[in-house]
Amino acid sequence: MSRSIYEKLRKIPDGYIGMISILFMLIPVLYPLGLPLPVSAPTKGFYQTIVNLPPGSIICIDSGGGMASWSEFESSMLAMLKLLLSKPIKWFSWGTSSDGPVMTDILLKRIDPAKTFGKVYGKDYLTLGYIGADEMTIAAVAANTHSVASVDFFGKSLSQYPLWNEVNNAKDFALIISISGSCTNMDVESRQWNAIYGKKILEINMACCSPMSINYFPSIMPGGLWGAKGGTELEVLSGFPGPGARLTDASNLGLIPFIVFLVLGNIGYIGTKYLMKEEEGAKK
Amino acid sequence: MSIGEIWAAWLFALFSIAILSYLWKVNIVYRLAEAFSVGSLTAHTLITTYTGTIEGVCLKPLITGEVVRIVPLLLGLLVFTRLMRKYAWVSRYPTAILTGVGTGVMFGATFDAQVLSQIGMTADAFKGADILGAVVILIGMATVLSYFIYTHEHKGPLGISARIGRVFAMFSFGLNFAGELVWYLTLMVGILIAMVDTWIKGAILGL
Repeated sequence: MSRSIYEKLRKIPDGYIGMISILFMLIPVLYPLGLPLPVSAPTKGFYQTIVNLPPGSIICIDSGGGMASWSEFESSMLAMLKLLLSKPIKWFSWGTSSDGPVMTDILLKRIDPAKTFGKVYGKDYLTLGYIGADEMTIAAVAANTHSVASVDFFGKSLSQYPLWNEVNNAKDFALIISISGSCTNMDVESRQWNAIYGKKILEINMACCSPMSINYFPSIMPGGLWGAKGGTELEVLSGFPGPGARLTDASNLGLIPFIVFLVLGNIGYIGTKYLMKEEEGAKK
Repeated sequence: MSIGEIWAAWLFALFSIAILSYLWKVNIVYRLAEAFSVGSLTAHTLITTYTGTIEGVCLKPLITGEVVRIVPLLLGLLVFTRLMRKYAWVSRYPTAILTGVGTGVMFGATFDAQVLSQIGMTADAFKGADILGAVVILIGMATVLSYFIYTHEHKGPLGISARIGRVFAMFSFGLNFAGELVWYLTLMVGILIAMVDTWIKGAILGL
């Protein structure tokens, strides 16, 4: 091939790749495909850990994440909340990010726990608002839960809720679920919950954070859901279908142009380099 | 759909298209949408921080008689002395306390959680059925660590180990890059789904 072809391959504009990828993604958005999806070990661990909890156990949810990554968290959080609400266990969540409690509230409104699962707010589950200071607040929640908040997400006094009076510190929690948009999240969570109190942690995070979090699987983190794919897998396992399948199908198809252009770009790069060497040899 | 929802769907669609116009080139519409996005995010963070942290953790307990809550409130207010050149030095105190407490909280458990437990997990892998996987993890850990030995020239056995370590590290970077790409694509899919379901089907076609 001539040098100009290699150079053209190297210089395909980014925008073209993006536009072709969008066209590919639109296919499953308009016509759901239902591509097969094997369930990974971290998702199985996530499901089993929750299912195996004794009745009456209380879970603490460190609710982070961001609305900007809504589609990464939606399916995982929705499937997790449905699974938690369907079991005879209790949970309370607090916000490690300003968006976390808002996302939880949006999903709870969609689920309608009282109507769907017969769960009572304040008795079976409780949601707190955002409490700043990151790791210091996690340490405070673990050491003295009541010290970090006086009102719930809706601004109502926490003392009126029976569940709030059941939790005092880390000893009262059977499990921690951490939802985060930070790739170093498991470092923080393991420091404050596992190293000091020996608590197991389940994680919900973005797809790009799985290589960082997987280090903690399965000893400290018996399970994790990363990205829409993790949520889709939990939807399959728990039997609560949600938005995950459509999201995963579309992102899988959207990847195809990127893989093709990645190969073409590399052919262009290697080809140009090879021809340049040949030209230099001919000059000598 | 209510009128409010239709308005919201149109706003969502227009802003999404404005942001996507970046694929063509950076333009005024994109810049405008970007500025709106940053502004609204700042406002949202301010409000949630006030209601959740300042009001929920400090002001309300203070009113009910927990006088000690005045300490974080005062420390927080002292940060604003940075805005006055004459008293800017005062802001160093809350910063120093925050840094000191943060370091203390973090440092105590770091060695246990991130060093000892990681070594323990590498050894634990041999207890499972996947011995080959455990061997790969052990080789990966040892060779990547050897890559970061800078006090000795990377020659001989150390050189070989460091080169193998570099390959393992590159696998990890590749995985990170792939994860980033999937993340961006999922965000894009989320926008496409919302545009098709909420804007086209809901607001325009009324389905």
